Amino acid sequence: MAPSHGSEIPAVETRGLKRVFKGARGSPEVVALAGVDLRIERGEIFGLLGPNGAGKTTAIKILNTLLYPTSGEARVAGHDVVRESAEVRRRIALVSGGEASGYGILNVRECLWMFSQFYGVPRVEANARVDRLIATLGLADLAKTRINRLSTGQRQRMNFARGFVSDPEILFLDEPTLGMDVTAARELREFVLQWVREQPGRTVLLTTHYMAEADLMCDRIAIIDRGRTLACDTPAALRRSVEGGQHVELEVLGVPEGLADVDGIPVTWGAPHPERGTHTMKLRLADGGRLPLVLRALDARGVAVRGVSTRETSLEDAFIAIVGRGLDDSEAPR
Amino acid sequence: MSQALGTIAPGAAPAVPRGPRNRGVRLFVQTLLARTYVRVVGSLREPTWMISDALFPNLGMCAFVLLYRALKAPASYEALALIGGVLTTYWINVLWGMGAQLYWEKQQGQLQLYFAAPCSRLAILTGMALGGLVATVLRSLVGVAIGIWVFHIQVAPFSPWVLAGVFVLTMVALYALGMTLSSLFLLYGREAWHTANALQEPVYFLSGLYFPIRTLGTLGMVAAGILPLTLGTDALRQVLLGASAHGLLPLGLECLALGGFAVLFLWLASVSMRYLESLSKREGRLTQRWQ
Amino acid sequence: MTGLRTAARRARTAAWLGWQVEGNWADPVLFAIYVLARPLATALILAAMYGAVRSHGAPPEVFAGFFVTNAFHAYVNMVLVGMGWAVFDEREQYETLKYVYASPVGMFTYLAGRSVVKYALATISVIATLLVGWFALGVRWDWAHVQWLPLLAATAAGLASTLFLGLLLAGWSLVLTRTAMVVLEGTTLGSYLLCGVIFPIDLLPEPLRWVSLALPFTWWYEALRRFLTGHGTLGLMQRFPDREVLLWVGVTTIAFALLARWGYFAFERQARRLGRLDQTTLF
Repeated sequence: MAPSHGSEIPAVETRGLKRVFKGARGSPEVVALAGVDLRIERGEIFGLLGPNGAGKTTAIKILNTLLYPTSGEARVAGHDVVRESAEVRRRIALVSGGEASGYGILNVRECLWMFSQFYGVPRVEANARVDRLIATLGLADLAKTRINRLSTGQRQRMNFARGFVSDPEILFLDEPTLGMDVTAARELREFVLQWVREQPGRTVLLTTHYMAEADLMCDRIAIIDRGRTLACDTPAALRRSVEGGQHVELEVLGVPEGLADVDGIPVTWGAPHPERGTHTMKLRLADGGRLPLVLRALDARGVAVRGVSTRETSLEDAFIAIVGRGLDDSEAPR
Repeated sequence: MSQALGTIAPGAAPAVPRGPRNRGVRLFVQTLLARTYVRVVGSLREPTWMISDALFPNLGMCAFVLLYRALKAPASYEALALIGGVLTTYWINVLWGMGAQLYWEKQQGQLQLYFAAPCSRLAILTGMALGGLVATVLRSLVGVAIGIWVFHIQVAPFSPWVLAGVFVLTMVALYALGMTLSSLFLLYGREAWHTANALQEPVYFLSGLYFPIRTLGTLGMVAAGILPLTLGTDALRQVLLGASAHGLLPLGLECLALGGFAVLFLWLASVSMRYLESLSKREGRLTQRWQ
Repeated sequence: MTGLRTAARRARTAAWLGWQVEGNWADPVLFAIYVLARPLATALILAAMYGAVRSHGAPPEVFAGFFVTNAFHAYVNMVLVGMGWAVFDEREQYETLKYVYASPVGMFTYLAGRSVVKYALATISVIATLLVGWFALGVRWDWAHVQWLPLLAATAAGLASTLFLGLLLAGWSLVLTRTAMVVLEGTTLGSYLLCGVIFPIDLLPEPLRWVSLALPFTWWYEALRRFLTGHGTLGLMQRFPDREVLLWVGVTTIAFALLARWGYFAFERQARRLGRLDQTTLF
């Protein structure tokens, strides 16, 4: 279902959203959000990508009424998150990845039922919905198992189910597949996509570290770093913004300290290969014909090239181009 | 963005069709029952915990009863210590089962789920209080049983209705105080936990749990004016021991004061919860763990 | 020699950690209030109880003896039980126990190091309680009649026994799930009941009297009353001459040292069998 636009009230809207944390005991204050503008339409799966410390979780907390902004405005389903927080909470749900929360003494079914009650879901509907979620999310065998006996992945699955028990209008997923195995993560993504398609207007705000997940699921993505929105567009458009030329990865040996560019072309660094003593150098060449020049420049600096590979523009490339570093990129070798 | 953020007209239909949701009093009751359920289940599902939770805390009471025997005190003092010992279980529940509970919830990441939900915080706290009472009543019955069968402690004839009334008044006031304390934990982390830890025995002392509060003179009067447990203990002793309780104030006056405490602390709980929730959100402490 | 130096360094690090965890969470004034509030409150409860019944002929020297032993019971509360709590908190709250265990530091060295700050805090508590007793509550004794050598010997044995029993309790905490919380609390209260802290053990039922006599603290507290305040407990303990009291402090301490060594490792093996070392069971 295509997201709605135009004059309809958006699912989430922020303007100049800022959040500053006071430093503890003499340390400087931390600007987690430096003025974020977002508009998420109804029916969208909207991704928020950024490196650690970018401000993603801070933004989610503000939108979930768990944190006040220092300045700026934020509205969820048309309601101000500070002044109309009760109205916001009636319409949202939050799932955070890597969560170990839950009352160990309760079983899965009881935990989900309890949260349905906190959201005012009438009893008959609550029982039916809990049954459905348990069946759909592969928790049927665990329904009567106490939470303190679940594995980490099973707990995460239960917490994931909890996010849907109130049938929210807007669902906030903060790294929901963190720590899950490949199969489980794929099933949950499918579930989210299906859930959004089922009902017009259901909206998801997803933060994730997994580029492939964002690329697969999101209608639009905002890239955020150091508390600012650097770009906001569809995954295809973001890729197109850095398309052209060639993405090259070179496995190199004998790199001069702090090398940041080759022949004027900026480089970024991937994971080193200590077993071979090499590093991965990443560049984007505007023209594939420049590769021999790059290799010659590296040779002149005494850098040996052990391997060369090229590939299509990915979301990660777009991210690196926009942010200036990858989510997991290393520093330049020292 | 050049235009104002979109607002929703009051009474407008939800953008996404959903089933009806309970609000107001119905949501309050739903939340209260759900949270009470968690507490009750938690108390009943671990049999070994039930036994040890009921037995061990009464050991302190036994020690103080035996101290009165060693000091050759009249038998009524042993009854006094028994009643105080039984009431310590409620104070422990208020401190740890309510106040510090939010600390544990915060550490676990559960607190933010409560605060992102539309239910009332007071409903959650009230549910915790009611559920905690189940385990605490069990503990106190074990204490009474120890007093009667092991120490052969006797009390004066009393009216069960008066006892029940005074007990309920004391509990409402005490747990309302507990709800007020709970809200402190929204803002503070380890300091609040240590403060609760530090409050345990000092409150036993200021409440005269093991001796007639009259012994403390003016300090006792001041304590009675601040702590519902002081007045509640004294009132319950007067019901059960009559003149041997060496009561501080007339029973009727103490009941009136307890009623006042109940109203005051319930109001304070509501106000402090709202204020401290707002403050902790402003300072970013609501979801901060390992403070 | 190198081994000793390494162990000392590790114990020093553990002691530093103990300070960070126990003490470094508040400003000094608030911290002092926290450390002293509970033991002083208990002492004041005893004083108020005594004050309430004094007119019925309760002897003051009896009260003085129990006041002193109540003060020293802070070592049992803070060190013995505190070591169990350290293990519990490390496993359940901080989830660092598995990393400590898997490192070469050695749990004995680690726990002994962690106990240092607990000893320090307990000592502060004891001194403060005795000072309040002396200056505010009239709990006094004749310093000229204090028997220093047996007093110090008994106290050294008593302090050692808190460490050994603390290790045993720490080992037990490894095996227990969240019931450890109640067991630790029960140990605090149980020791209060069984060690003759505030009443003669004659008042206990006979089977419990035997348990009491098997505990080093019972003999240590009797030694404190006799050698510090000059008045031992009447009744059962009166039958034992001073030398025998000292002997039993030593014997029970050694017995518990051996029990702690055997018991701790048995518990540790059981904990590894059950997979408890990295298991959080609190929620």
